[in-house]
Order: sequence, then C-alpha cells, then structure tokens
Amino acid sequence: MRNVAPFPITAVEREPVTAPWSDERRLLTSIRGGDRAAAEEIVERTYSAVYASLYRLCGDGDLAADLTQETYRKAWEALGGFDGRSQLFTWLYRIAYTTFLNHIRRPRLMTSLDAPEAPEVPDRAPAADEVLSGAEEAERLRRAVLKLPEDLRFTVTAHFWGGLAVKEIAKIEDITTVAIRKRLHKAFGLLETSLDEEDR
Amino acid sequence: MRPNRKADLQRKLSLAPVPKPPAGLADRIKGEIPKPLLVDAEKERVRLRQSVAFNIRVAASIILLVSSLYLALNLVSRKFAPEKFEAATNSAPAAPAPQPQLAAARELDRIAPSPAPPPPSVAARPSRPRLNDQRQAIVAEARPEPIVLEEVASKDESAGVKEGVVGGVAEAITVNAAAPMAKAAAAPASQSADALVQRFARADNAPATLTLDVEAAAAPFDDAKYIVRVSLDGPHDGRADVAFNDAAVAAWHGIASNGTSLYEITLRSGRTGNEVIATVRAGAMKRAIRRGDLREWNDASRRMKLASLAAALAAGAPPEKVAAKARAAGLDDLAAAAEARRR
Repeated sequence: MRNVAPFPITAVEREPVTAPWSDERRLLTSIRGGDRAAAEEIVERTYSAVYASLYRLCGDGDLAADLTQETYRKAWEALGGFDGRSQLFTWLYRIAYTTFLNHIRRPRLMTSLDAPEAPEVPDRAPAADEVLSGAEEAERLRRAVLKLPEDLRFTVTAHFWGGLAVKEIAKIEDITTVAIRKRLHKAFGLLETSLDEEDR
Repeated sequence: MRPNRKADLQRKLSLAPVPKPPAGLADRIKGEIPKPLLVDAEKERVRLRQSVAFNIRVAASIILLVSSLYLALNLVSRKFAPEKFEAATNSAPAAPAPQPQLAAARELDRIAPSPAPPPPSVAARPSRPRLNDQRQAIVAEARPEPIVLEEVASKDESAGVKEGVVGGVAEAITVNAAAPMAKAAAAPASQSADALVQRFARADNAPATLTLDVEAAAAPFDDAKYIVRVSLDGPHDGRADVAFNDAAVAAWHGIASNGTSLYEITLRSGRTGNEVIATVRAGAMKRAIRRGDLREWNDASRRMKLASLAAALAAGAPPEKVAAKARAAGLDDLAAAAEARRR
C-alpha cells in the first residue's frame, strides 16, 4: 500500500502559494483600507500559482496568461464580497476555474479537446522523443480530467493543479473532507477507465 | 483500481509540466488594479450598517407580527372559548372584589323605611328596571363575557308585566350598561317579602358555628322557574356572595337578601347535569349548585318550601293557593298566615 499516495497529497504536490493566515488578513485589511501596495503584494504572491493552475487546465501558455489577467480583474471587482471564510488563494482558484470554464464554453474561443495544441513544456533538456511522449501523456491526462463530471473535475483540478488541500476544497464546496476523498477516489476510477479506452 | 495505477495517476497529475509565467504578466495584472482601490472602506462600513439595520428591522417586524397574532388569537379565544365557569370563579380572587350584596342590602335595609306596604297586584304593577335604585348593588364578576340578561330584561319590559313564580312580583333584571362585566344584583322585591321570608325560613336551631345552607328547587307555582336559597346561619352575621353562570342561567333576580337569600332564576335549556348554575361563597366556604342539584318543589326541604311560599305570598300570590299548598306540605303556620292575609 505504500505506492498509494495518501490524501491530502504530499508537500511536493503543494505549492507554497498561500500566505500565512494572519499575513493574509493583514493584506486584505490593508487593501480594504485602500492600500495599493498590499494589492500588489497579493498579486506577487499568488499570480504564478494561478497561472500554473490555469495552464494545467487549458494547456496553453498564452491563454493561461490571458485567463490569469481576467481572473484578477474579476477578483478586484469581487473582493468586497470576499468574506474570508476560505483562504485567499482558494477564493482566487475558484475564480480562475470559473473563468476557464466560461472560456471553454464560449464557442468562438472554445479549445478543442480532440485536437489540442501541444502545450508549452519547460526546457528541462530531455530528449526530443521523451518530450513529445511526456507532453502527449500530459495532454491525454488533461483531456481525460476535463471530461470528468463537473464535481469530480473541480475536485481533481483544485487538488492536483490548484494545490488546494482537501480541507480547503471541502470548505468551499460546503461538504465534508470524507466526501472530497470519495470524489477523488471515484475520479481516479473514471480516469483509469478513460485512459484505458484511449489505449485500446 | 490497482494501487500502482492510482499512484501513477496521482504522480502524473501532480507533476504535470508547468511553464513559468510569461514575463511581465505580474506587471500587467498589477497595472489593472483599479485606481480607486477596490473597496471603499467607508462605503463598505455604511453598507454593512445598512444591512444590519435592515436585518434588525425585519426581525423586529417579525416579532411584532407574531406578538400581534398571538395577542389577537388570545383575545379571540378568550371571547369565544367555551365557558369555564368554575375556572372563572376560582380565579375570582384575582378579579375585582366579589359582590357585597348581602352586606350592602342589609345596610340599605337599615336606611330604607320599614316596613314596606304590601306589593301591588301583578296587573297593577308593571315591571321596570331599577337602574337608579339605591338598593342595587353593582356586582363585578370576573367574567369576560358580556352579561346576556339585558335581552331578557327588555323582553320582560316589553311584556309590560313580568310574572314571577312567586306570585308575579319579579323584578326586572337590570344591567349596568356602562360596565358590561358588572351585573346588578337585584334587591329584594320588597321589604315585606324579605321580612316574611326571614320569618318562615329561619333555621330551627341556630348552629354554633357559621353554616352555609344552599338549595335549589322548582318554584312553587311555576315549574319553569327555580328558586335558589342561600341561608347563612350562625351565632354572628356572615356574608354570602352568589355568582350565577350566565351560560346556564338566562335570568335571575333576588327576592330576599337577609339571613336567607332567595333568588328566582330562569335556566337555559340543553345543558348537562354537571353544569354549574351558581357558585356561593361565604368566607372560606364555597358551594356550587349544579343543574343536577335542582329538585322538584315537593322534594325540597321544609325550609325551602316555607321560604318560597312565604315569598310567593309576599309577592301577591293568591293567599288561598298559598294556604292550600302550605297545608298540603304540612306547613300549618304559613297556611294560617296566608289565610289570615286573605281575611
């Protein structure tokens, strides 16, 4: 059973995108008090994680950058309604995810999941065939994830691509952590089936 | 799902390649931070205050509405609920003071000239309300219902003459119009009636302690009406208060009010034998007269027969009829008095 990754996932999978709670509160208070520097600090701390999440969702660097900008635009507008019940990044991820969904639902901008562009891959200097193979594998997985039912899709992407803890997802979904784990378990089953079908 | 496969999927999901954000993305985002930054704190505070004030107003309205409904229901249920006479009388101590009818009547007896002339005949004496009669004592009863006797009184008045069981001297029932919850305790029909009743209804042997003797029986000459006798016997004066149940009693009036009080009552129909007609209180003593306690006149006690026949005689019933009835009941003294009156 050591091969089975426990939930929540290990620290490797979690990125340090969230400020300590007290720090986050301080920044939010400053922003509400009209402090622009605090808003910039929030951006500085979170934008790369938001971008990474969106990149994993859409598989396109330029599109991810555009969606990241749009995410923050929406966030500034909605910041007055942020009640602080969840962490700021969790709230931002929710906005980013919704922004992505809105994007793919817009016909003119819809990204075809059947003929996707090859994602930009950071130059880790692997062999060319290895890069292609890894990229293909990642793309297949991305497509399989995006085909999941909405609740499972959000849970999987928030947890693995957004780096949100099970507890945080449970909080914003307003369900128990056990229910989140069940979702993840179910999602893995569906993903395996989906990938196996593609292999055949 | 195989554990290895699951772990592999987790690894692939977690380690999906992510490029670095394009250069300048952070600056572009920062550049889009609105100039009038985000949230106007003062506006937010005002909005919050307004929201709280609105919520409080809504809560207050709901509380007010519920309270009003409760109050209205309470009032309606008190007005239309089935009568709980005993409960009402039991709660009387919390209500206005009980009727001081005996004491008041005795006091008035001392004031009034004595003895009164014999009552006129039925035909000659129309029934009339005695609203201004000094002898009336206003009795406040702890009862939410308006007194229903007004109707009876007016009916009697329209008839011109109210024929009483005891010979046609029944007083009109009066109701204090200004106080719907108060009932006028009718005074004795006349001084002579009171004196005659007291003469014949006296207890044979005065008890050592104050005793309350209560009885109700049909009137001697009218089975449709009943006489309630309340005798308070003892070594010293006492006071008895009588409260009639309007649900059971359509009309009543007092005939005598000294040591033995007599009331002529007309009952409503269709009630159970357990229904309380009147409650009598004298100090700590309390007696309830129920419909089932009513007797025929022939079954009544000797004292009741004497009192009711004496009242009838005083009220103008034909002396020969009174004498015959008294003689038949073995009340020779009263029969003699009636015969003497005929002469």
